[in-house]
Amino acid sequence: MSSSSHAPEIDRSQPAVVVDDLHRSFGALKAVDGVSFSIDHGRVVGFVGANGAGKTTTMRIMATLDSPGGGQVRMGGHNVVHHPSKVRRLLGWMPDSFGTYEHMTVLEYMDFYARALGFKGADRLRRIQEVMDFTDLTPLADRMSNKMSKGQTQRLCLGRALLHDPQILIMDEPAAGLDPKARVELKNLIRILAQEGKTILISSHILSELGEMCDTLLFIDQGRIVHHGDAQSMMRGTETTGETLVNVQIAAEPAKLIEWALTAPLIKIEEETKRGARLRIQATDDATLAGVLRRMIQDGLPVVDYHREERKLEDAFIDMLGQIDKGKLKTPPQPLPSKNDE
Amino acid sequence: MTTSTLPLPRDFGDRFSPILVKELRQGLRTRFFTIALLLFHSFIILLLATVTLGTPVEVVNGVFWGIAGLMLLVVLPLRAFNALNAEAADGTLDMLTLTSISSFRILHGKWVALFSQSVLMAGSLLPYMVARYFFGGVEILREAVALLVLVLGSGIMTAALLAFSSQASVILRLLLLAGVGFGAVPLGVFTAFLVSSSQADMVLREFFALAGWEQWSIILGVLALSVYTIWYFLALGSSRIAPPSENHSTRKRVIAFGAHAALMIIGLLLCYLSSDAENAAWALVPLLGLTLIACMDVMTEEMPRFPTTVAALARRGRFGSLAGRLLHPGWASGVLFSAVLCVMTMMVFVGIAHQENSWRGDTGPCLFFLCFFLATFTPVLVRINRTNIFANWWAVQLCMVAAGILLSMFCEVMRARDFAMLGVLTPVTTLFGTESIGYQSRGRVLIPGSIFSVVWLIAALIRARMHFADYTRLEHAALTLADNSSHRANDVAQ
Repeated sequence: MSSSSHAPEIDRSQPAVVVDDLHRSFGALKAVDGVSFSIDHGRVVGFVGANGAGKTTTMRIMATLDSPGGGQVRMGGHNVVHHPSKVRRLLGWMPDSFGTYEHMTVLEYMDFYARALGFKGADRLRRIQEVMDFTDLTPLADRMSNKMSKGQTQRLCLGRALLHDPQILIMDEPAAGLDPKARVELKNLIRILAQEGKTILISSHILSELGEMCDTLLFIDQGRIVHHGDAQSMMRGTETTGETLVNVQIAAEPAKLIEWALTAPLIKIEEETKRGARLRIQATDDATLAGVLRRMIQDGLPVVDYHREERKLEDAFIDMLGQIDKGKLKTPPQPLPSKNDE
Repeated sequence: MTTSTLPLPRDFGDRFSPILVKELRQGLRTRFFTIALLLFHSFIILLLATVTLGTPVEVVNGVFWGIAGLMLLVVLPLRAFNALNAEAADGTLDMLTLTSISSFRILHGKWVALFSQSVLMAGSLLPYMVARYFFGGVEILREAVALLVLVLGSGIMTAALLAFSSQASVILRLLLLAGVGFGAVPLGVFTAFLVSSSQADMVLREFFALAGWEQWSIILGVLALSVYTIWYFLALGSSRIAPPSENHSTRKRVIAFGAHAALMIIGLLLCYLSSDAENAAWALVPLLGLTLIACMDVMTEEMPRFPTTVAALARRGRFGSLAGRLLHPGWASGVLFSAVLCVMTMMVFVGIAHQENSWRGDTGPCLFFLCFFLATFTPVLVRINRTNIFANWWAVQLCMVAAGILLSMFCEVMRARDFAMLGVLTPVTTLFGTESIGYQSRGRVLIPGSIFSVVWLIAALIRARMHFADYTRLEHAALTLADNSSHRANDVAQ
């Protein structure tokens, strides 16, 4: 699903998104306070934070809809303040709340935006058809655009955002208020777009829905980026502690495992369980964890279950905020890991 | 995902503006337009039917034009009252901003859609005008001119309300609506004069007695002024909804300067070359209104924050930088620009005072209008609303007018006309004080009031001058940015 005639230029030598020391205040309120991050091409990044944390303000500045008080934002290599029209051609924007028009059908709505984006004649129809098929809006073509369910309206908004085949998609709380079925549909659409190589930034305050969709997560609190990393390491807690919690069960007395763990390097006993123990291993990489399992088996332990423990993302986030408050964790304004690093 | 062939909407071709297509599709489907049209026609048919029952034709004509004026000058333009604010509140304005439609095209499309419906309504009056002609008492030429005036007035009212609909505050918009309505009164009065007064025939006869080029000059002049006024209001509105990194002010000011210069030259030529210097009023009256609108507009612009807004002039070196002090966006340059416009308008006043016998030796009218213009500068120095400079301008003026009215009432109730002297402190209260003290003594208020008004102007200019440093900083940033871009382009080329 691409539109070659309206494909905008993009500088692939630079990250798709660069946000550098971004500031924005509303009176005395610092909505965004020195936010920095970058996103490589083709990444799906979740932007997480409580209501009022500064997500929407940051995204609106990225979408050229608001202006920074300080710092700069580059999208596809173009500065959002100096070259807003170039940025707009690269960008698809799906806001958290938006109005549809009265007395206008879904097809007329899409036709209007296709005209506004410069599509003409048969080219316009072709593009509308492609996008409406992709977002499954074709059966709703004659429905009044302001008389649809929340899920259908979100699909309409996504369709509008995709009309000019943008390389970067910014989605502010796209799943808010959707029923489970509509959420699954939206997730599927986002997955397909990610497979097409689009760079996607999705904000939400519901972490579970982001964990499944995103390569990496950005956490924002009180206008500052407090953490970034991938969802798996967040859930395992490895990003903040450098340790991994492993649940081990053996087909023998748990005391044997405890005895073994007391002498093993890099391992602390977190808790003895009914059929084994929870062990804290001072490593996060797969090779070390596999090495520990291998040693257990070599030392004669009858291991029947060995798995990393994962917390809910919400718990991980709250835990992390707590650590920041206590000063154990510093805010990390570093670039997100690129695809090549993986 | 489904695939089936969609029927492309073919009601409007590609050459139509997208926003016009959207507005027309919506507008023609709304119940408002349909109900208004049906009610209007039902009423007119009933009205004409009453002629057969013996209602005097003059009464029918009066009611006919009253309803037509109400529809074209009030009801139909009122649809623009919430147009931009509704888009902003619904979040759809953001969507439009992200397309390739400029903010001016958004306003233009909306205006064309609304105005075309007004034209449709006006066109539907023609059969009734012909029908009334057969009842007698109707001068078709007078009526055609009256209808044209209403249509032009409707276009201007719609543009003004559309421009002001960008303001979020309902109270402010209601205040502006009252101001626009006040502006519509002369049009309504002129239309009433055309259709009901026997003197109108004389005026039209005089008009047709003019040489051909004079008739065409007047017709083209009125049309050009109407088009310019509509354009200015649309430009005003578009500058309020545009992203702050865009400059929508410089071009507007250049065109406004050109229009004012043309009117000033025409006014001075009429002063010194025509048989009657009062003919200069043809240029002076529109100049007066346009100066007030332009001053209000440019002195309520937010100061720019981004180099992109001053880059075009900054690149033109010292001359560009100098011109920028008049033409860059923001209220600071707006103060200087407004001062220039006021001087241009005052020159026509001085010309008339110099040439017209009835004004000779009387500085009163010139000083009165000097205070009138300088009243526009007061809000630069007085801040009631610190977050919205546009609202502040109107709030300050409203307070000044309220103070002036209180002063007038005090003088009247206490029978103490000398208290009118208290009004000399501000330009607006000077005007009220002048009216209170009586014609013979007005110099006692006008002269010190004018001096204080000039002090207000000088203070506003000093405050503006202090903010010129912001322009200098932005110009440097714009030039640095341009240098960096050209270096990068050279690097790529190498």
